[in-house]
Amino acid sequence: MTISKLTTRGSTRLKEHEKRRIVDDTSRKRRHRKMIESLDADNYHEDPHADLVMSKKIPKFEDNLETRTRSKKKEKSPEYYQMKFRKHILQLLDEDRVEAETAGRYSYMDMASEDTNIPYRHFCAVCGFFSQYVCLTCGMRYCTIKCMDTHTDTRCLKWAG
Amino acid sequence: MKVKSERKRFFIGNQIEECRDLSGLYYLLPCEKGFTVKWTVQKPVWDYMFNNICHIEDKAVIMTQPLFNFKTIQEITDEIFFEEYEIKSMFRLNPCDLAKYEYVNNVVGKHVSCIVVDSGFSFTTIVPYIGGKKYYPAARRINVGGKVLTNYLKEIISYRQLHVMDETYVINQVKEDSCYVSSNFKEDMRIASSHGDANTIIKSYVLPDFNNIRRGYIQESGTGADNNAEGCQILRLNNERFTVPELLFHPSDIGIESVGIAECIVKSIFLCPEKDRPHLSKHIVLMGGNCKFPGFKERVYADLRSYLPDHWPVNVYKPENPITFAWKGGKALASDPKVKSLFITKEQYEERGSAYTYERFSDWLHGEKRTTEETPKLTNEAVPSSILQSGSFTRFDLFGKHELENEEPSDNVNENTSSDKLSKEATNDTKTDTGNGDNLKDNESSESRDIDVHQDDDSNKAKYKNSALMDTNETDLCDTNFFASYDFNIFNNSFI
Ligand SMILES: [Zn+2]
Ligand SMILES: [Zn+2]
Repeated sequence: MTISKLTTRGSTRLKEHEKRRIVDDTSRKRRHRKMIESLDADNYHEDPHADLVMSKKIPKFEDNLETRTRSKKKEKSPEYYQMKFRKHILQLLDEDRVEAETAGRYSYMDMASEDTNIPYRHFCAVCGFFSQYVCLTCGMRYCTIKCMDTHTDTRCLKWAG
Repeated sequence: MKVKSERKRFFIGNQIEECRDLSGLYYLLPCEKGFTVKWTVQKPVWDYMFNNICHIEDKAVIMTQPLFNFKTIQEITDEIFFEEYEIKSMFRLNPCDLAKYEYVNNVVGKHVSCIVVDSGFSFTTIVPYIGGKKYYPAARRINVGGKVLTNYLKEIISYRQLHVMDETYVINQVKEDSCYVSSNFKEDMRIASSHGDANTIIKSYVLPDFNNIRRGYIQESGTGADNNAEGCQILRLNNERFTVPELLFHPSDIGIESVGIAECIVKSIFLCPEKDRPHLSKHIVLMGGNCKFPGFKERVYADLRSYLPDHWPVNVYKPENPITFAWKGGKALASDPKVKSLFITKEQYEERGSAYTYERFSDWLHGEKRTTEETPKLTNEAVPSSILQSGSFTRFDLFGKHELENEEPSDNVNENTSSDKLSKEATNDTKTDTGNGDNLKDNESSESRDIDVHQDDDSNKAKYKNSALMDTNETDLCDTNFFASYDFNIFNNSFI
């Protein structure tokens, strides 16, 4: 049973190998960039209910308005400030860079750290231990046949089209 | 945060206590990369805090902001605080400045050059201070903070074991409870790959069910049946425990092209004038939630020792509570007689507008590139700090039950006591209100401190409520009689 299963998997792998195409460098880099971006995400979720109007029955921040001494007429809604802001973070970063160049000062970008001098270490994309092998198709790493099978069945870029 | 079961409601900070169903909690953060960009999220958090927790009208406010906090952001902040909240005066600076202030004045007790390492939610910032001033040419930012760590842990657990991509809140706790910084990476990898009892690293983590177990925990092995955990989902944590925090020291492990913390400190030191280098290595100050990982400080020390010349002294200082350290600095600063000149009053703002505050609170505007920057006397330097770092610290605090600050990226620490929590809250974004600036001089610092502490206790619960998650911290100032301090991180969280 076990043996036949292995054989089947092995031959499947072989067949796949024949029709396997090599994913080019651009796709590999794109995948990597996406991965880094997702790790850097602040709000992993957009507010799924953003379009719902807040129910008036439910207590909100403004509930304790009576404790506030400042005059209500000066109060502005969050939307007012958001309207006024209207900028994307990348836009802000770029404005800062331009302003810095004009003024000859340091900018946010100038503080970015350099790449390391230490050689990169390589890890199995499946189990996380040190790896010695590279997937021929997509360039991801694996450490054993077992991990290679898992990789091929799951995240290998051959699935990415 | 938002919760599935009550989808029309936000929970801010401490309000999470009122929430019964914590599964699928998600965060709404007002910040991106440490900068406040979502005012629809930030503003309600501030409203909540300043209406319910501490009142700031007619008070002086010290607020923290990231380095290079953008003009537009500062303008809106001015408008909210001066025009809507009607505060008396404000001073904004970077949390690293506050940490430096606290370190120099209350830890070392004399003026020394130092390097502040702020490892927060969004990133890790390394800022040398030479002769009391920020040295921009050697300041560096590594784009790895608690946020990346939590996201990475979520990712690998989801791939290897259980789908947890929507459980940022829980996984952040897993990170805090179980991760550590390895002092011998290769050896730990070897141990983790061994089987049976030889693997002393693998642990089982019981996930909360929000019924009997509100917060998950590591299951101690060998204690027999764990009745509490019956029917609960369990994670097996092995090399994840140390490969995740390892990203702080080797971002290249996941292909981020950057130096790690220790290497970056070394590079930063070598970018400073030669005569200052051995002094800087003697005064390395750690702050931010990530510093709470067990082994963090030891690792920084060991790596620096091996990189730096033998005859240079190396000393790494980790405050008792790395999260609230900057806030403490803000508190101390608020009672400094010299602080008054740093503030911009409401009248000055009304007269000269936002351009004036931007000019005064943005020390990076002064001083040319490639030269040592001189900052105006009154201005503290601002350094960018990671937001979430702060962020990272904070979120937990906000929720009250958890001590860590980072919501997403959080820092880990299990051991915080309630007192820690208090202070933590304050840390990220701290606002201390001090009463009238006029009276500041009159206050004895010790007196104000006592009062302060007291105040903190009373307001602890309240503090937690603020879950602001921004990098922008606010510390503020002074009431004659007492300081109330609050932190905010301005991140908002929402839960699903
Ligand atoms: Zn493997
Ligand atoms: Zn592949």
